[in-house]
Amino acid sequence: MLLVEELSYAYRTQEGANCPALMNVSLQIQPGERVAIVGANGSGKSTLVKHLNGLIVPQKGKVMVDGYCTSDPQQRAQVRRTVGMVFQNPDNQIVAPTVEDDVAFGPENLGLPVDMIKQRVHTALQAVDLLGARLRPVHALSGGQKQRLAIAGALAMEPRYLILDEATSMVDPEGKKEILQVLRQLQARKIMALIQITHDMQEAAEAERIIVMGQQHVLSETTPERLFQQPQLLQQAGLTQPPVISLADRLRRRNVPVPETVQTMKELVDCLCQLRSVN
Amino acid sequence: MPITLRQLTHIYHAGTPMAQQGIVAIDLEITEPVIVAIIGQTGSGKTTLIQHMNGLLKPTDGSIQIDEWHIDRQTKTAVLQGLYQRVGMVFQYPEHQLFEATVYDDIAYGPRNMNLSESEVAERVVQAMTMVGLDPDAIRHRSPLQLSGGQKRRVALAGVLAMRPQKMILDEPTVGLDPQGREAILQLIRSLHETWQMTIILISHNMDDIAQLADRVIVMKEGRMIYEGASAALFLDQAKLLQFGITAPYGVQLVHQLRAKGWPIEPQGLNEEQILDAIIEGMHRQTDTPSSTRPTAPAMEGEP
Repeated sequence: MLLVEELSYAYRTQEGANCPALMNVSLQIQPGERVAIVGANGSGKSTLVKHLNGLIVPQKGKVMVDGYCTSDPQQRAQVRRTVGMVFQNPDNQIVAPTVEDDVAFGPENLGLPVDMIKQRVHTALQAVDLLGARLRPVHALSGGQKQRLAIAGALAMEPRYLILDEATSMVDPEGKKEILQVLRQLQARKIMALIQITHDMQEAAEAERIIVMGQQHVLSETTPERLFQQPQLLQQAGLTQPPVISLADRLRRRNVPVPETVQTMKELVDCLCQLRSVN
Repeated sequence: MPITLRQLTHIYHAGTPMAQQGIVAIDLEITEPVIVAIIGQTGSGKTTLIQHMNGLLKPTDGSIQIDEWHIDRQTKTAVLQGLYQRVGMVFQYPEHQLFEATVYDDIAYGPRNMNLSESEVAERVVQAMTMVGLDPDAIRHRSPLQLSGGQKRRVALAGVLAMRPQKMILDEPTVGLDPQGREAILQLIRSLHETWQMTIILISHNMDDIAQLADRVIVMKEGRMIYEGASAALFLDQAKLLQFGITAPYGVQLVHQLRAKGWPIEPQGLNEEQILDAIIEGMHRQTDTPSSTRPTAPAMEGEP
């Protein structure tokens, strides 16, 4: 379990002022869970997740990762091995000259046998569809390919929790769907938890649970169904409805009686067909 | 004069063992003013293509004509100076490149490099800030680092607009922005086009953005242009979407799925009102009835 207790953190500006990023945040994430973290730019999402694998340690409060304390330098290696993290900007995460070497870098540092490293690299590159590019120099990859590579690097460490911080923003929609499908299979088999920071509300709607950040606090911990029927909360948090729910809403406003329980494209299609047949 | 590409080709590291195809033999005419979106998988050549449109890259074969500039492999870089100003380029995550101490200085960087007088620089900075919806008095002296993500991106856009380009190229303009920040940038792009008749060329993976904004669409695959045409014609054609592996915008997905269930739906365009009109009309129409017999009417009230 990832356990965050009364966590507060402030950045120090160049002028020496304190700029609060998180204020008294408490939450839990279970193994095998699929959680979306949403909120406006600057609401504290990235600062929060950087605490979850010890990239930042709490100034106040504590963060525990499967029982290991991120503030204890002795336990940090175990924390990092347990929680994988992929950021938006892949250039900051690439360490080796070729695709294959880059993915092997993490497992090599774990001191694994060569065969096992090769196996992990192969599986990870397959998951993000980069096997064909495994010998390519990293600088020759496009932005989206670099993001795929960064995800492969994290997967090769076989983390118990994988955190994606806008990590597929530059991948094309079809590619994104494929990558997320692989990651969701790992999550569905409870091999790892999948924690996504995303601005894509449709993606967030597919999570089991949503954590809404705003003004350095947790504004709400809820389910997608509940969140997207709360216009005031969405407005306050800088969010919008996911496209399908928005379509259903607009149809309602034009007197098509689509029930508020409709969440997915399939449900919307079925409901409209039913309305048409009774018409 | 349209932007004209003739057999435009770019091979990276040509003639070396590292040679890698960027884009191959692209023939294209873009009639202005227009909003064009470029779609394609990662590594399909989108970025390589747009870098030719403001002279950042020169073709290794073929040519491109933009206004008075004709560029081929022999073109000297020196003659392209004016082109960088005519065609403004906004890269992915442009806010990562903000570096000055104040918002004002950051936006003034480009105009100052054009050797304008400081009073003219000031005028341009204030105008650019107004264009992107930033209040000059409120934030000109602030550090860009203190702004929100959406504001930073608008500062970066203002920095390009202060050079007074006539065309803008934007690489993933809404990526990484929260949903409300995204809406604001989409509105800004639309107003640049409508108010200033700017030609906008944008790369996006967000099909909903494209459906909202773009008149025309270019589809790239493995360095080649495999489609060019009106965006409505592409998105409303299910066979083409499947062929190119493109996911439709959500509203259009709904249209296609209802069509698959036998609904006769013909949206007049891609905006949400047009899509909803067509769906509501389809709801009241049986498959074989012509549309004129039944007006679009929200007649569902009170029914179960």
